[in-house]
Amino acid sequence: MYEVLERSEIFNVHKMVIKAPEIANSINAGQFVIIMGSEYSERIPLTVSDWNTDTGTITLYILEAGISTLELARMKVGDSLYAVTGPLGIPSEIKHYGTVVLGGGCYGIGGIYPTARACKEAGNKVIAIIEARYSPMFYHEKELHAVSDQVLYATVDGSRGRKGKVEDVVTEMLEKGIKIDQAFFMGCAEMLERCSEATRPYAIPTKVALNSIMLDGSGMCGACRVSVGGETRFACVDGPEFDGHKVDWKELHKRKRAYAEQEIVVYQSYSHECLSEKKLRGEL
Amino acid sequence: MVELAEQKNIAVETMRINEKTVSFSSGETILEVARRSGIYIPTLCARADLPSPGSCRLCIVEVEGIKGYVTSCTTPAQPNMVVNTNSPEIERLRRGILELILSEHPSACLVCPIRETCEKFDAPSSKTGRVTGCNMCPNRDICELRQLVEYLGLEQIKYPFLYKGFPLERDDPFMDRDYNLCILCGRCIRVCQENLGLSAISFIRRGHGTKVGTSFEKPHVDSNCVFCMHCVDVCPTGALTVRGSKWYGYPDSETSTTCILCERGCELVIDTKWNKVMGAHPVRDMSVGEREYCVKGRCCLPALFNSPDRLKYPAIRREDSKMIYADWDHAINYVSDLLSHYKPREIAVLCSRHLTDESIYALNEFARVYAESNIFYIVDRDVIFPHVEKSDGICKDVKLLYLTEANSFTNGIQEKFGGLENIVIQDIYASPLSKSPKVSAILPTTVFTEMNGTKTCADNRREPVTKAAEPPGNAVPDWEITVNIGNALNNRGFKMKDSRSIQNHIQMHPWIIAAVPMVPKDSLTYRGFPIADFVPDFRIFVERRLQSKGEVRF
Amino acid sequence: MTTRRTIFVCQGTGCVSSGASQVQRELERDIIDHKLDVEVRLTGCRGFCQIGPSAIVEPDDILYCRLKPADVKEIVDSHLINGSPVSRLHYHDPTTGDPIPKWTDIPFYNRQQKMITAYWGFINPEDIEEYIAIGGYRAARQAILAMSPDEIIEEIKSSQLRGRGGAGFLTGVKWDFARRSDSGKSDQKYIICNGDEGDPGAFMDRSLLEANPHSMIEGMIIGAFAIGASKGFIYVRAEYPLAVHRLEVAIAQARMRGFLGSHIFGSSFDFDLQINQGAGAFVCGEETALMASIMGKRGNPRPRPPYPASEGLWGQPTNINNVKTFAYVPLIIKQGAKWFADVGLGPSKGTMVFSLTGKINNSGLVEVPMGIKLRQIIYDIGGGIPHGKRFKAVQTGGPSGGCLPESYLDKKVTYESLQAAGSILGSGGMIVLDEDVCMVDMAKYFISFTEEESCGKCSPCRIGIRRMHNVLERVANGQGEEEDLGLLEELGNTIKDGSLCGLGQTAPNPVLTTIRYFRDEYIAHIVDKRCPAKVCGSLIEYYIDEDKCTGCLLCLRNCPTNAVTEARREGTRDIGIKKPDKAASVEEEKKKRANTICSINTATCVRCGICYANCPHGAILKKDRPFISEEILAVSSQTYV
Repeated sequence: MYEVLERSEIFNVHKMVIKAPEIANSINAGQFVIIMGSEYSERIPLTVSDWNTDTGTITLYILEAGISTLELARMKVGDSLYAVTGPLGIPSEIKHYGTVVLGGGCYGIGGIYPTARACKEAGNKVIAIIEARYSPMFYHEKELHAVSDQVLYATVDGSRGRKGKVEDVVTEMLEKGIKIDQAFFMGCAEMLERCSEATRPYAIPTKVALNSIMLDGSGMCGACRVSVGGETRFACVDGPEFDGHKVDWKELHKRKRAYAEQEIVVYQSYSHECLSEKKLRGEL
Repeated sequence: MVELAEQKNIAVETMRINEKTVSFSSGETILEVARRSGIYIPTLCARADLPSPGSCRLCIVEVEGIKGYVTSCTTPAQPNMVVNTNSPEIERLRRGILELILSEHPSACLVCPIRETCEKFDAPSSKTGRVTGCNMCPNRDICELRQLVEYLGLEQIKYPFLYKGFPLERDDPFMDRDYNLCILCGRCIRVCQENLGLSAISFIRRGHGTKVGTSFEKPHVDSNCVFCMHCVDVCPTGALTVRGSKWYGYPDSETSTTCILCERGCELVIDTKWNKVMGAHPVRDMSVGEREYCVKGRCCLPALFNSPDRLKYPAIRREDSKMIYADWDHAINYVSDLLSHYKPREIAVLCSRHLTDESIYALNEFARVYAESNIFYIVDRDVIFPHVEKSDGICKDVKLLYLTEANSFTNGIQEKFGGLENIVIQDIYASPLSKSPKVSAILPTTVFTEMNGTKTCADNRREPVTKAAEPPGNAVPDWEITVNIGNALNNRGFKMKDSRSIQNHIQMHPWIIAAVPMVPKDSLTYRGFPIADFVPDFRIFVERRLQSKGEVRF
Repeated sequence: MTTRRTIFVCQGTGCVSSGASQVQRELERDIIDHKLDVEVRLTGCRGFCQIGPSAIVEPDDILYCRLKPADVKEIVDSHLINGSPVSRLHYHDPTTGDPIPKWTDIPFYNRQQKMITAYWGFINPEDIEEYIAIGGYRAARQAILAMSPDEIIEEIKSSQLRGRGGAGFLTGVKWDFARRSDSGKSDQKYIICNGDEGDPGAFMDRSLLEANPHSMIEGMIIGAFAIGASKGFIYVRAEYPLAVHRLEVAIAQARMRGFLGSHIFGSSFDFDLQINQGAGAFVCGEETALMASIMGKRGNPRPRPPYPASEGLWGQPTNINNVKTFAYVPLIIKQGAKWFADVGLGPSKGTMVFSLTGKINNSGLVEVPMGIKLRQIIYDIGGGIPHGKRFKAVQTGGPSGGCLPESYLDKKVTYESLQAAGSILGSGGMIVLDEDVCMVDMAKYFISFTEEESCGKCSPCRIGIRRMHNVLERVANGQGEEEDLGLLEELGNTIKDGSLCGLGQTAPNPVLTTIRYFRDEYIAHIVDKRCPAKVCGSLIEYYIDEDKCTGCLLCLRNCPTNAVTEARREGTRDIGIKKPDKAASVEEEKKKRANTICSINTATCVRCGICYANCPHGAILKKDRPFISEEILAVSSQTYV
């Protein structure tokens, strides 16, 4: 069950193709899954970047950013995940907007692909903007090119495309007078905030895919609570996409740091042995 | 310098560095002389007290009479030498060399103009695997490459960035290695060779593909590496890191103390953050020759001391045989009352060798006054009574035991004490003995990072132990509990009030501490608890080492 | 009256690999069959490798060239039995075609001045008695019994002999340092012979060890006595098995005769030798890396000072010299320092052995006096450039040296003159290049060699040379940019000034000299995307001249990528095979063949050059490839491993 069929890595972003036929058959662009690597792992939400109904597989791009994703990064082809729940969240709102700009950084480069594809199928002009620190860190490019009218690159060191980040490209486009009817952004919270600020002066409708801390994923626990336009929303059942101009970013950044201590302390008693071995020895 | 030389009768010569006349003694290199005279020469591969390979080429200087440039870290100083450490040419060359080194290291952040604002704004560590920039590097705050970039004023790197693409080496216990950051300075290799004579690592392959590795690229746990982390501590970049302590950044406080896990008594600096012991590392500028600490003190302390199973509150047995939590006053009174029902001959004290001098002394004094000096230590499952002439007959008379190392009190030893009725445990963790119905009181105490004191180590050194973090719950240092119990028993023979009076007593009775058997360096326990039970990586290391070599060396 | 003849058959590695052993066996067998009074003797390389396998018949002084076992019968019948030499097997002048039967008349030989190569090709290297018969080991005896170490060193100093390994340091002075060095821990001193000849194309040391190993051994014995060493090492690269074998034989024989071991010549001097084989590293030709290798460590050089003369093997004073340097020593002791110093020019005394290779008619080993003009070596001795091609450059000093253009042909060859030109004398490699050689390609080749052989210890060499190689690759592929020349020069200077050892310090020389003297070729590659010599694959195209093509299909059959196709000559009719009759179909085949030509598809052609080299009609030609930017330029010039 939930066998890992394909694995590869590009600079901390791990591609994992998992056998999950039910999810593959019912998922839509913008939705995510919650997975557990082994019986005693943490539950973590991950965006689904692609799926195949014929082979019954879903593709995840996992950014290694802590113990749980480290355990996932250690998994090889043939291993099985303990649990995969989904599809969760409200799918992206897809309609004919006109010109759609999708911006992605880190795991978002692969994450914006399904939304880009759906927008293209709905007849939109799709412009994808992807950012990375260096040119070799890009991935999933061929697929993005296939569904986009234009793919723009931004690198911090200037080794490819424009020197800078997604928001710099967006600002440039807007200053040149290019009309954008809808923007989707996916990446780390700081990036989402900066991109939303870039589109705010031009009042471009902006959707951001938030990556709050999440536990149950079905609206019960409140861990993924976020304030949007002064109202309380839950990223798992009301999101993950929200209006970027209304999100209370300060609160979100603070909430994401809630477990900073535990996330670091855990490394002290972490060992690379798999958790089930520990259970066998009666430690868990 | 001249006066010192006259005192020591060393030949003193002079040379000129940058128009300044300086003296030196034969055998010194130009770099050593310059450093001593306050002249800065940038280096990467050279390090005090390690033989220099002269391979990074950053410390080059001009010497009159020698063609080209020589490395100051390898060139012996000669009388009347004239040296120039800086000139536009040398600076240009140094910058060119640093550019080449940085072109194969993820260095975009190093030369980025908005680096400072970015780092202030950016969230704390992202705990990634591959480092792609300063932001994700655990070494960011102490990186020597950054210091060099600032000194040389390097603002751009004209070569395209080459990522070497080595796989991350994260399968060993304790240590993470990312050789994509390595600049091949070789310090790790030299310290492993010089300090422990182990040479677990060396340069492998050659030319552009050179990297650092073990023979046949075996995992370190299968080589003769002892995970002492000396290599990690001399690495100028973030290539070598200790997995458990790489992500917390600046600690809230750093406290210098002495590790008392064994008799070596190595000086360690404890990092405290969020009120917990987060890591331990040596003093930053510790000379290579002084480094002796091992994996136990360096890596295992946090997991060993921070487990949620730490004993926090005193517990006493009620009349109906249930153990209940109590406050210290009740607990002390209960224990002293219990003790008053026994004759001194019937009481014995088990003293742990892992206690500070003060705690050991207090227990010894307690034993002298209240237990006829029936104080013993357990060494390799042997019971040692240092202050009693004939110890054979003692055990069977003992009815109450005051233990500070309950986990060592195993069946084999328990059998000797056939007439035991009551046990008072003063410890840091519960042990199988805790469940015995004979246990009447459990008193939570502190570990050495949670108390002040001193410890007598090998070679009769008396080293300071300094408190770095607060103990959990209501745990109190051993000596304090013993003193309180002793005072509550109201025997004027027991004259200890506080820590200062203990100090005086220790000074006046040095043979007490001298009689304590030392803990050898290859010990695998702390207060009787196997470190492997608390630190999973340590267990892996010990098991593999016992399997392959039959013994564990540190 | 019949004269007793001797045939000396060269058995150096070059000739052996071309079948010289079989030639010798055939000769011996034939001579025995015919019961002739002729002696066949094995010798080492006699230097004229172009025409090997070779044999010299004495006392006629006749040289036979390019022998095959099948030629032996003719030699035996015609020359040995009937006294009439075989003309077709003589050496023929490359320009006139006239045969020159006697080796003493051949300019390749008589324009040389032979000191250390004097007996090459005339004595059996595996028989110590022959070396003794020509005066061998007399110098050693004289040195040990009749001279003091100081006197020996004085003699070497006055001769002004300089190290022939490349650095050119005064040998006598070097020996003096080692002699005066305080041994420190013990009295032990060492002497080492550096036989790790690593320069591509250099084989002087190999040939010396194969032709006259005792001359080197004798030099080591004298040197050891002079500096006070009791133990010597000969470090030979493992790729020279024949040299190692001949050394082993020579050492064993020397020991038996008492020239090695204890109480040499009955004196109190003990000295013995050990052979250490290399393990495939060019860098171990550098003295400190060589010593590390002998001590069993990783072959990394270390910074100097301290120099080996004060701290060498195991911290003891050590003297290292090249094979050729040691070979001069017995001659100087025997014939005097003045005999040596009278030859040469300025501070470069004596002779130098060059390995003359490349686009030259007479390739081989030549020994010439210092101060001789390059033109004399290349044209008078070397016989000039074959196939009437134009001279372009001469590369000296191997990967540490540089390429000198035509304007330097009249330079007198000395250490100083070559260094001033930006090259070095090195250990004697001399590669002649003609108009068909691309200088960018040459520079790229040498840099790729040093990149491979870099030990990796110091950053400028390890990283810098790779970067230079990357830039040269881009330039050769038509992706060069304007800044590349400046970048190469800057990188080159950083590597030269920053590297730890000689490998790094001299590695940029081929690039820097080609930029200095052949800048226009670089500009052509970078700006015009054109390779003037038509060598760089990405910048040329192969095409077939229809007039010369005969449709033989040789190119088509050998093309590795099937880029050659058959086509019909324009304007001809398609002749199908109508008659199945065998005789008639042969006729038709011929007609069809006459109308067939081959054509090369540029898109699939990888410019391997197989067709070009093998077309019997010279129908395949090269032309500049038209520059198409998208096709040639990569999307990003980044390198990601």
